[in-house]
Amino acid sequence: METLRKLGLTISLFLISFVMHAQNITEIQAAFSKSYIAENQKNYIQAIDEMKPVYKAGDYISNIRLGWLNYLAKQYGESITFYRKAIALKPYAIEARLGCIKPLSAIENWEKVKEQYQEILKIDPLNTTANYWLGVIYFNRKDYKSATNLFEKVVNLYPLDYDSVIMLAWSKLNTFSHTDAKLLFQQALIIRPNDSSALSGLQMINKWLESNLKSSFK
Amino acid sequence: MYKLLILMFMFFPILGFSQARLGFQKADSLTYQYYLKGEWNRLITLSNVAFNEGVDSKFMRQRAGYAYFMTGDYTSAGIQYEKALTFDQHDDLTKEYLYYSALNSGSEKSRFYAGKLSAETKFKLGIVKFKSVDYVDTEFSLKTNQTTTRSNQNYYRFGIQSDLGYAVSLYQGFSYYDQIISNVLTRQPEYVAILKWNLNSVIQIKGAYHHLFTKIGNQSYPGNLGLFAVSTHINRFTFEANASFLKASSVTTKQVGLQAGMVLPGKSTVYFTGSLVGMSESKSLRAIYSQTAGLKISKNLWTEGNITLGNLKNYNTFNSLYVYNSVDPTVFRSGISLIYFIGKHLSVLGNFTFDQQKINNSATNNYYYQYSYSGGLKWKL
Repeated sequence: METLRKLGLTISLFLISFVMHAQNITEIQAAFSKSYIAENQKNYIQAIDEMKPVYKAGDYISNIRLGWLNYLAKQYGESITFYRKAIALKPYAIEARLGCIKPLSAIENWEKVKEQYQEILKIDPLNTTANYWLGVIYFNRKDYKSATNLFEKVVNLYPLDYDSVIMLAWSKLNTFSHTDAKLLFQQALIIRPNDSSALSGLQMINKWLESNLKSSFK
Repeated sequence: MYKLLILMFMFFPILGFSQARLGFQKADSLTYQYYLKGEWNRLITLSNVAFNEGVDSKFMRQRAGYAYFMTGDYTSAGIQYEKALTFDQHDDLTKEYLYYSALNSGSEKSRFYAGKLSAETKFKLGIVKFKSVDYVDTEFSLKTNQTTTRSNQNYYRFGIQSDLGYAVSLYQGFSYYDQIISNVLTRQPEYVAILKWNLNSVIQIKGAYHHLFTKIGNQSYPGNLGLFAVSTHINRFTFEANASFLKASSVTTKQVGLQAGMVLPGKSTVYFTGSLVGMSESKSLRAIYSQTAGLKISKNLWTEGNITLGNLKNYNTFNSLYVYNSVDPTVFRSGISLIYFIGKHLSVLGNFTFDQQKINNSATNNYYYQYSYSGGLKWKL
């Protein structure tokens, strides 16, 4: 009799917790649904408010959602905080880091943006987005050697991606690898005929070759 | 009671408004508008509200820095540009204004920041890595007193500062001091070398060597002094710890000191520095306290006052540039200086100092007063 009483109690507790969990899931799904509707209507503050009742600091999805919505609402400080919480919960999740880069870029915090791309590349060394944009950061800082290494990875994976090919071409030109640069500018012209950036690059190479020829005959 | 309620309702909108958050979009666009209109004070006020709220960006820091720069508060401008640099260490505009802010506030970090400028900016501003002569300076001081047994004292100094890179500087000074005491002439030519090394924008290491060619009558009493110091500079605050060792013919003196300073916000650049020094000599210990306060009176004129308490026998200050080893020790010192900047290269220094001196080896506490009148020139190349 005692055993039966204990069994009954256990089953009851299990059923209660199952029902409560199901209710919670339903509440969370409803909150997300309402939040999506508000977001589609560009009412980002309302979208944030819909999330608040079901927000849990230890929930990865809620933090990502609030990071994104705060970014859309131009509340960049708050957005970064939520994305950082998400990163702490799932350190190998690349999407959280890519999300965090958005508000960091908005406030022009290029040091932190660079850090996030570097962290992504530690997890996924061939990540195209991270390789390309970190390459752009290095290119803007005139660190053409580092930029070349990163753009090369992207071009090896996507030889027909115009943006990566043209950036690699300019990086090669700035590291005085004129032969490689010429081939890449020509490749860019195949992908995008009459492209002004590729044409000006080839023009610069031709001028450089002419001046070098003249000086060698002197 | 109802009057109180009416008052509460009257002020309710103000209280409500003060609690409203500024937000990034509003702060960013308003600071940009103030920047375009040149409304520097409003830009500073709004930026500070935004930063306190946690609303921050590189552009907002740059705008706040520029606003402080335009109002002449170069220390605050430098702090804002330092913050902007944490967002983007490769922003040439930030680095250039950080350099100008340091230069205008008289900060020793200006050379360090110069080294961080792009090659194009360095070329444009004529900044070079090595400069055999960065500046030369000279000083003359006449010290008068009322005693019959002590003549006036004369002190001359000539110095050269060399830049051995963007982070390392060397100052070399040659000085001479003389006085007749009880018909015996004391002469003291001196040589000092002070090396400063900025490890980064916060920490500076200093080392110095000072040789004293002391001659009393025909007898020589040479002395050697070595100093080591570490100082930090964080926003408005400076801290320094230093230690020095003086080995003279008759005595060995150890000196350790702690120094703290701060610069107040505002274009007057009011600053305070306090230092506490412990002296160990012949198994006896004594303490010296020194306090300095200064401010910028106008664009070209600075003033500084100082007071020093304690027995200054064999005490050294200004990184061992000055060694107080006269026969009669100073027991109280107070002075005031004026520095006038004439153009970009020349500055003129005037100083009056009052000393209370204790007659050496007097059985009773016999004191006399000494009045010093100093003048100096500094030519920055």
